[in-house]
Amino acid sequence: MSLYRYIISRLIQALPTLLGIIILMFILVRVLPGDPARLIAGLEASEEDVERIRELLGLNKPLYLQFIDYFTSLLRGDLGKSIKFGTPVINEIMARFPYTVQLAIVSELFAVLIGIPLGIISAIKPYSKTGYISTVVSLIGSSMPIYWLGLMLIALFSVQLKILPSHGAETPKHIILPALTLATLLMGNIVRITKASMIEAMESNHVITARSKGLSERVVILRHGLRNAMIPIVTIMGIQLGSLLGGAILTETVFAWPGIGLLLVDSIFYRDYPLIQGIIIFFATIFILLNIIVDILYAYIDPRIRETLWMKEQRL
Amino acid sequence: MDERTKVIIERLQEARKTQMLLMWARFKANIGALIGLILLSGIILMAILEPILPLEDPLAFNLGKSLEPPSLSCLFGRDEIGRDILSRVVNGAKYSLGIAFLSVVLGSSIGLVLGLISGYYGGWIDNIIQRVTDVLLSFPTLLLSIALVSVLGVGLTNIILSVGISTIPVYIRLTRSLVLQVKSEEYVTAAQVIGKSSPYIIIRHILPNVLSPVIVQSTYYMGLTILIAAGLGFLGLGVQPPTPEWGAMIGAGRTYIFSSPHVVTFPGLFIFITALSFNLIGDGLRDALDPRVRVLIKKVKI
Amino acid sequence: MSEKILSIENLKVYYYLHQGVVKAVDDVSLDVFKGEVLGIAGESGSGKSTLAHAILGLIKPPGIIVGGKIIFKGIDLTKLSQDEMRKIRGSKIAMVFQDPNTYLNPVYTSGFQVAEVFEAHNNMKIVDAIKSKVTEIFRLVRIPEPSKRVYAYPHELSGGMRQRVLISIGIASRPDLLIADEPTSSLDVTIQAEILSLIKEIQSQIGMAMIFISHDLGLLYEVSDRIAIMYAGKLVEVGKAHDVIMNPLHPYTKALLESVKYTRKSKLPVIEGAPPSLINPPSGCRFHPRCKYATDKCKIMEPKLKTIDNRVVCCHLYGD
Repeated sequence: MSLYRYIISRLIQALPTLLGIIILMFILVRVLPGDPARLIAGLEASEEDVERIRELLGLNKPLYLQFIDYFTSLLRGDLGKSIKFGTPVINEIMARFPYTVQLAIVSELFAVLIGIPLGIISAIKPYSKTGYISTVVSLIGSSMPIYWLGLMLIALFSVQLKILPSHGAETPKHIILPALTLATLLMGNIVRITKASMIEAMESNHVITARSKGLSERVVILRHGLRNAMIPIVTIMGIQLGSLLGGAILTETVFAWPGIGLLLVDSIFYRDYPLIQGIIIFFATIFILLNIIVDILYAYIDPRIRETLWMKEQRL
Repeated sequence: MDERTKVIIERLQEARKTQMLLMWARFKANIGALIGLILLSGIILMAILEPILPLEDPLAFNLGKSLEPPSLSCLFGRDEIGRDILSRVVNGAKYSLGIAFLSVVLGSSIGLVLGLISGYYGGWIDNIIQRVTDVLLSFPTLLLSIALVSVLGVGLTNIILSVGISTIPVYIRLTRSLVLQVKSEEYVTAAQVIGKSSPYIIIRHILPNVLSPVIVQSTYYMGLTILIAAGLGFLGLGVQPPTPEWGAMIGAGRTYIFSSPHVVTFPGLFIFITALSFNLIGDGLRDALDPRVRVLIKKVKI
Repeated sequence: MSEKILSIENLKVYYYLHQGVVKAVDDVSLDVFKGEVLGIAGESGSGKSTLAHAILGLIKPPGIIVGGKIIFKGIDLTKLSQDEMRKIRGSKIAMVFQDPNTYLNPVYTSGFQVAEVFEAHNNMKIVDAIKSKVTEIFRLVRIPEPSKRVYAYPHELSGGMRQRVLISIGIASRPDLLIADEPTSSLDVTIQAEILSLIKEIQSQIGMAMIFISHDLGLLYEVSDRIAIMYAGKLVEVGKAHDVIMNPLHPYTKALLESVKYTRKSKLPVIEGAPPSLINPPSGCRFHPRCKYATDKCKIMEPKLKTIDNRVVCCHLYGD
């Protein structure tokens, strides 16, 4: 009934998951081989120096105390300090975050603007030329290694044709290749799911009713087919957020796009554990938030969802 | 048994046979699936025959011939330290195929078992498993593999473990939702009423119905795991040099994209072909297993 | 004799499937007169729904109208273009479907879905149509609080009310012919009676012709002026409702009626044999494998439709 209540309840539901992630990350990092204190101190440092650093980092305290420290600092938004940069992790993340967001939005836009129409057409006219193109596109999208595609695009557009830049993020032109690369990955799924849900929607009984009313085919397809197909499509876009983030990591690496993905990869090489940990938690949290937004969108599109949620809350 | 029942049983048996034949016919008719099968067989053959093929040593380097472009004598060219890319690609096949296969087997078996337990027994065990799955699912698969690799370290076994484990949550979800559907069917209730033990019911009645979607999912996952494993290799987090893993070859060769694109083109091409073939086969399987009736005439003008 | 509003002549509708050709409607000829209620009875697979869809031009590949004519007010519907058919569909000929759960779109309000008829045929804006026309119709079909209910989503309504919405869609433009395809089958028995009487009332009020499809002969007896019986894609008997039910001619009709009549003391009468395959129907008369009176002739030769004072039968028993 109420979208508002639905939002609140979803947020509350997400909390235990978030807690789980934090615990998981905590465990994972403690499990890591290697002594962070020694890493920071350097191989030549004396035992006392390493010991002092250990004290500083609180690594001597019992595990549960470490966890409490960890947790409370997280609540404050303090994700620790980067070993390599010496600056707070959160700052490093925030500096790069806008770039990843830019890349994500532009890529998703490309993917949706091309993918959904292709999917619709291939559902309505599966044996036409466009239909075959869409099948091909969706197959390519889900089988293509993006890093390879990125490199191929660089070879074509930057090296051979010399019309698009291949690295960095200075000008608006710089976003084109990375976004196209990432979009191809996303397009694969979008075309496939749009096609499948359009087919299902068009075969549903209410479409027969719509036709029996004498509505024009265009109205039937858009109003009764697409509108209903949007439900699984939005779902898939939500599920794709994972591929989006994962793909961003790879794409940013190929194109040296200064986003969080690139930061993560670099930090793994430098064994910058606080940074690695911080980024992963950050990623995961964003992911959860985005999923909540998708759920809310979902409830907006499908009126039935609102009803059941409300009833659950009333314990009917 | 009277005439009518006999006729009905005969019809059912015929229907079963026809169903099997139909499924195979549908699969065969799907050109994509056939192409996928052919491609995949080609790659598998390549991996199997590799020891007896007349190839150069994939590890032998020759700095004098660094970055040699493809030619008739050296079909795929040479990489930055002069190694023959063709032989490296052929050699790399077994790694990618092996990783894909083993990680999917790992992930699907654990995921299947957990999903069956979670779905069938419900209650607190279901709750715990679902909560943990939620947490794992909140990481995109690649990210999860990266996280696992940063804990376990790099190397072949660790990749298989990391990629395999990162596929578990989806299997759990899939299996569980299927189990929930099947659980409410009448033959399950009938078996419970008779007093069959739970493990028996799970194995005998629920598992067979859960298998087909899981198999289709696994086929798709094999394509995906190849991409992820190669992705990890690309990032330097996978199989370590000098082992000729396709992803690692791309990662190492990417700095040479401007001068010698052939170094990354061929390994990537093979990753693409392999993943593609799995996807095609997956599509074919999914269509073949679909109980909905197929159409004889494709284009009819009214 | 009132005038014919619909005349189906030798209609054949086949479905081309992988397993073979399904002859869903195989040479059926039927007339519908102005203002009458024609009941069509038959088991599932008899072709009655296909017939209904064919009249409305809703047959899509792999189904095709292979032959025959459907003449409505002098025009052969099978020869019309999609656009021309669309003008008739929903306004002159309309349909009420059987399952209110799946035949209504869950994301639009009930009022919206009825208003679409006016948007398509009367060029009205949906919002206006809902306020003016749809509320009136809801009142007609006895939906309580119509002005509120027009804004309700299907899942917010009960089964009976949803069916009334489907009926509203059918009668919205006061069609000349309304086809009701098992409109009460998915309802509770208590609601069934209500809906049935509602349909009867509306039909006589508006004065439209109606084809009422059902597998339930008792229901048809209540509602129809004439009844037609279909089996395996063929027409087997047609006549006045009273005549067909009280004095059935075709062995199939007799068997159907018998299966309704049993008491505790007798065995449950069933029609022997299994439902026929529509891809490979039995040779000769399609009912012969299950017919008490079957002769050798029935196995070889298909009987032709015979008219015996006001009734039509398709059976060798009646001479030829």
